[in-house]
Amino acid sequence: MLKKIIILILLVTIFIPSSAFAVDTKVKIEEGESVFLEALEESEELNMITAKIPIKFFVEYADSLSEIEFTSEIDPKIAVISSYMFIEYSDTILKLNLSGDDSIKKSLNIGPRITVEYADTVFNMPLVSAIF
Amino acid sequence: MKERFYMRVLLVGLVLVALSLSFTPVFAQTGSTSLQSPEVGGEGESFLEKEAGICAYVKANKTLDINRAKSYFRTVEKEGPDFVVGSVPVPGYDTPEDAHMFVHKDGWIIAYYSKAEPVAKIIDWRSYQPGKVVTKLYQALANVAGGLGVSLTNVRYYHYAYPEANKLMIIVDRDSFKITIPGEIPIYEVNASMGRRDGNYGIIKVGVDKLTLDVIHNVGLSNDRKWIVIDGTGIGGWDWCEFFALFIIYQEK
Repeated sequence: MLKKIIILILLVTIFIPSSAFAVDTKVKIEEGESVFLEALEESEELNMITAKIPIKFFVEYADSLSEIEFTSEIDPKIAVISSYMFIEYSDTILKLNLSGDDSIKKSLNIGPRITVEYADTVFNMPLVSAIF
Repeated sequence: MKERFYMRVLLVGLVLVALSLSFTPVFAQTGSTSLQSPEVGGEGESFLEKEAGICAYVKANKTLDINRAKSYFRTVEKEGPDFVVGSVPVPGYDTPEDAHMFVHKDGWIIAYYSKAEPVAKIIDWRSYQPGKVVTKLYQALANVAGGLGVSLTNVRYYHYAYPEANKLMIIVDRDSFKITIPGEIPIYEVNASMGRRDGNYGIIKVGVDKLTLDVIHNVGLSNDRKWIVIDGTGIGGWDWCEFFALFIIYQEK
């Protein structure tokens, strides 16, 4: 009996860390809304993780669920340094931004936006207050 | 003996499970971008709300030595118990382009131009390259933050005069472009800068009314490159320029 319990615990031990190290969170975005994700008290623990880990976001919009995953290209320690992530979107682009530099994009159909054609540079800068 | 071995394995397993759970990071949704004033707090916050307009800022995760910060100032403008404000040179520019710098012992480093200054002042024409806009506030912030050993990986912008605004669009061109602003979008400030690579520039007040909502507007330079023209009408002029930029502060819903 004890042997079975130990085998069970070992199996749990082997499988739990792979999911525990991934940051999974679900975010529901209404039309015309942006979302901040803020790291909570666990930042110290995050600092201890030196390996790159996958961070998954599930973005729900207009009854559809999109999965966005940061791959090993992004070091989670960057997210810890910035202490929060910012999600922004334009009419066709959803961008998840870590520390202002690293981002991935995904298409979504959302609200009215300023459109600019034929310009050399269009720099759309978020004006954000500090939420630390 | 065998029992003891299994007990040890059991203990190791439990410890590993506990460790793996303790590493689970938690992220929380903190709401939408309904903007709040930066939480500097106290006298410093009141000062910024009264004086500051557009700003670029970082928050260090350590206590800052405000006396050391003063060594990067051209002049000290105000000193409080927890913060200091001064002017900081922008590399390559004269004194009128100095940024104000607010440094708080709690880690805030905020470069700003005063509320009366148009947002178009921030563009650093000396550093401009197509596709890449650098601001004077960033340049000034880099000098002070770098000197204080603070990373610039998370520079943010905010405008104290427009707490509801959440976007600043900077459109740069050499000849002309088209722009359409949907009626649903609140616009707070529109102005332009005509600039050259030597850093000289002129600011043109455009005004919200010049860009009628829900209409495609053609924005460009006159043939002699001395005027900004919207839909065939000169809005304002300066001197011959290589580039011009339109600045729109608005709320993206």
